[in-house]
Amino acid sequence: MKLETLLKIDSRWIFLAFLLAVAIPIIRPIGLPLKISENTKQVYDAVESVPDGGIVVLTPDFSYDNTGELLPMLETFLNHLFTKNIKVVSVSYYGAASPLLMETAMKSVGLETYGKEYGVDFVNLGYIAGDETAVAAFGADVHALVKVDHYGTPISELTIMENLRSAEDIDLEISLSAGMNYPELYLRQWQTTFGTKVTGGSVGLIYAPLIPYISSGQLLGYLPSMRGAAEYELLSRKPASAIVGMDSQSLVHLVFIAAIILCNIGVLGSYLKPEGGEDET
Amino acid sequence: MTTVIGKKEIPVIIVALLSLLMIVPFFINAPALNSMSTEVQRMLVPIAGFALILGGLNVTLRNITKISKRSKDWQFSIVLLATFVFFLVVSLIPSPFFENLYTMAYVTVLGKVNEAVMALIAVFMATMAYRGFKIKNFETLLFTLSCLVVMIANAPIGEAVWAGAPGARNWIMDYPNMAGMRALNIGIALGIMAYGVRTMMGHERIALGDIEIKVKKE
Repeated sequence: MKLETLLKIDSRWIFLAFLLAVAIPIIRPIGLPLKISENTKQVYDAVESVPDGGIVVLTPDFSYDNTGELLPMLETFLNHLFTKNIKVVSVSYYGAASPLLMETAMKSVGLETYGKEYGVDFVNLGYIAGDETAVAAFGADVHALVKVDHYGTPISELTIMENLRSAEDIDLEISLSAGMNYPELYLRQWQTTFGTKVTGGSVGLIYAPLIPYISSGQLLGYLPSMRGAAEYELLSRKPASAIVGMDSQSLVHLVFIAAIILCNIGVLGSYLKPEGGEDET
Repeated sequence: MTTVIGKKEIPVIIVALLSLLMIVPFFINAPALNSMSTEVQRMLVPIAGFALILGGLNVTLRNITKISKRSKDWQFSIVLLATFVFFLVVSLIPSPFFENLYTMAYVTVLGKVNEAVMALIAVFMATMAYRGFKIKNFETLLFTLSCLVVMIANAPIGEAVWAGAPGARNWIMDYPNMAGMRALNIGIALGIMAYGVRTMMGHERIALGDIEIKVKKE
């Protein structure tokens, strides 16, 4: 076989390999090992360091297109937070369905599973329009900005909101986002001004640009994509949907790597041909 | 007076004063300024809400015009308007039935379509990996090698394939990547500051809706 023929593999074979790499481990899990990174430990420690009775603000700023990566992350954070005596306030500054996603996650996690009560241990404030201005206004005076929760209940009737007046009262902000502007918003408006601790997780795509913030200590670690969620599930001893996807993710990565290697063997073959030149595919 | 402060200067003064009101409390702890700044921020949130209404009206009018003129792909505008009206009506009626209908329509239709489109991107990335990472020169060699290292290290199986992958990935992410990202972030921040100062001084006429300059540039 001539090496340059590797440059002409039909795309459908790659699609088939991709399909098998995703489907086989879901049907028959392989159980590949997963090492927990320092970054994930840092996020876990940030949650663990929230004092008893402390307030955590959880901001799911993503939509349904990113549920594959971020919904398992949201659920694993909720599972961990509810095992502790921590008040969880959910609010979103991204309009596309974030409050609905929080509802989906809460149905999966279940307040009653942990003996928690809505309005006392958890509240969903829904979406607030205005992007960075809204984040700044929330940080400065929560009660002046928010009057009702996502379901229309006045926040004055919710005991959880009694001790949350401004970003100064937030013990930890957990940002889950599909765009790097969101963690930056919380760093700018809450951390810089009020000293709020910020951590969270994102889709894999925006993790690299956020590394400088982790290195500078502004972000207390940050979970990258479903792998970060899977590591967190292991750390919090609550294996769930992210771990299930890890075998598939491993095999899909191997398909990508094999595709790159095959293509470059083909390129090498085209260079080694006596007449030279590379076949265009 | 009108010769000193004209039609164009008034918006510049408003922008400059409001900008200073937002910036100064970052640096000075003055309770009166802080509360004024908070009040202005709180006022801007309902304005953002009205902007959403304005956006909705704009989408409606543009698509009605498109349908009435039978412009290219006008049929899609009917689907858009029907969906828009459906979600608007269902979300405005305060009833548990309509709330459930809204959630069901969003989660089972739009949510699933969104997920499917995202999944398709992943599949096309597989063929992109095959066609896009051809090593043709030194730059593409560096690019492909760094991608391979990061990919191997990010895969949960990566360490079993190559034990040194996480270390190599960390070096790439912590040094070349971080240096590049820091340079970009600082550059963007300086650019935003310069743009802000220019806007406050009235040099950014487009920001103030100077149509003439826009037309010239186009």
